[in-house]
Amino acid sequence: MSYDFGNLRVLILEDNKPMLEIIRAILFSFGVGEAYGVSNGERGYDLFREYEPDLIIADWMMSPGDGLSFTRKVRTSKDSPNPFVPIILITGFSAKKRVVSARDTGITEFLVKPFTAKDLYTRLVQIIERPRKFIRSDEFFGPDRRRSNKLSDYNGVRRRASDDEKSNNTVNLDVRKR
Amino acid sequence: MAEKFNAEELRNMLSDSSSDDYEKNPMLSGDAPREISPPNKIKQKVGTGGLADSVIDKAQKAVQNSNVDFRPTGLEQLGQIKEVYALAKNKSTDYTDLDLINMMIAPAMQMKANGGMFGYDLVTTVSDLFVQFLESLTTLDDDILQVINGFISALNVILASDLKGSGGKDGTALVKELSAAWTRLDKKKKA
Repeated sequence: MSYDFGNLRVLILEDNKPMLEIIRAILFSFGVGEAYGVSNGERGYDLFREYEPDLIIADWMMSPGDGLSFTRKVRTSKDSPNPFVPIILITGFSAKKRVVSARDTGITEFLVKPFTAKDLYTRLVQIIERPRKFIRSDEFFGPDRRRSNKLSDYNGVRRRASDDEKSNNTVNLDVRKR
Repeated sequence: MAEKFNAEELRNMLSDSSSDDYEKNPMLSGDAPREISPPNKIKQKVGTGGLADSVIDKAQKAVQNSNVDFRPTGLEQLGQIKEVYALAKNKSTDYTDLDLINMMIAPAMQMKANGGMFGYDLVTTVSDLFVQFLESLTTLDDDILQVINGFISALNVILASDLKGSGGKDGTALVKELSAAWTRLDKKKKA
């Protein structure tokens, strides 16, 4: 048995056309059925409401409407059709403060560019097999920013224990459990 | 200059204050935090078993066989950096130093993100170091601009000579020298 991505609908927000085409090529190679592309967060939100995708892959830096403002809108807007939809944020940024900033808007996974097909696949597997619970509080609504593995301290960008050791393009969103 | 982002937009995109937007947030609750377990709709659709290595390899080949020419995009992004550098160097602008720094970070980050996707690994490595350097800055002065110019020159040479891959020993030496220039600047500032 293997995954059947044929019925999966993915929305990609990426303003760099060649990059968008590469992501679509990877997804189609995985067998994804539908992959819609758009170049900014504003239009992306319109398509999100229209198509209700199963998964969103969003670049950080776009205009008008970057990946973080798009994520906030998906998570918190009254007219969001699915505030729980998994969102993979893709970006060249990897510094801790950037990861924390992105995490606090409610993204599900963080993927650093440049990345390989395997890197993207690893993120998909995390979403499918280790879905995060959501947290609703005064200041935050989104995927739980903690993991139940035994991290005692969050010392910055690091890989998950399950990542391929050769891959250095993934970032752990796990934080210290308070 | 063809500005992809304006200075205020960049300030918002690159700032750390994401919590301000939650003030009147309908999804937030005044009660104690609670956990919600939404249904795993993706899992319901795709099933189990993962994907075969051959499928992932095929996907990666699709990336490697892409016939996109990154150079024109890279040169355009480098051109944006050069324009901002000129504004800073000539002090012929009303933009603040932080605005100018952000206006260089944006295209440098694009080069870092895209170079390696299209075979220009050294562009990614140099741009990555460049972005880290820029993100460490809060002001611009002649010494800092000299280091920035070093990065610009390096990226110029890489793209002009269409140097794909990591650049081998020369690439390593180049990155080492740029890093050393940053270290020398730090030491000078601390002295």
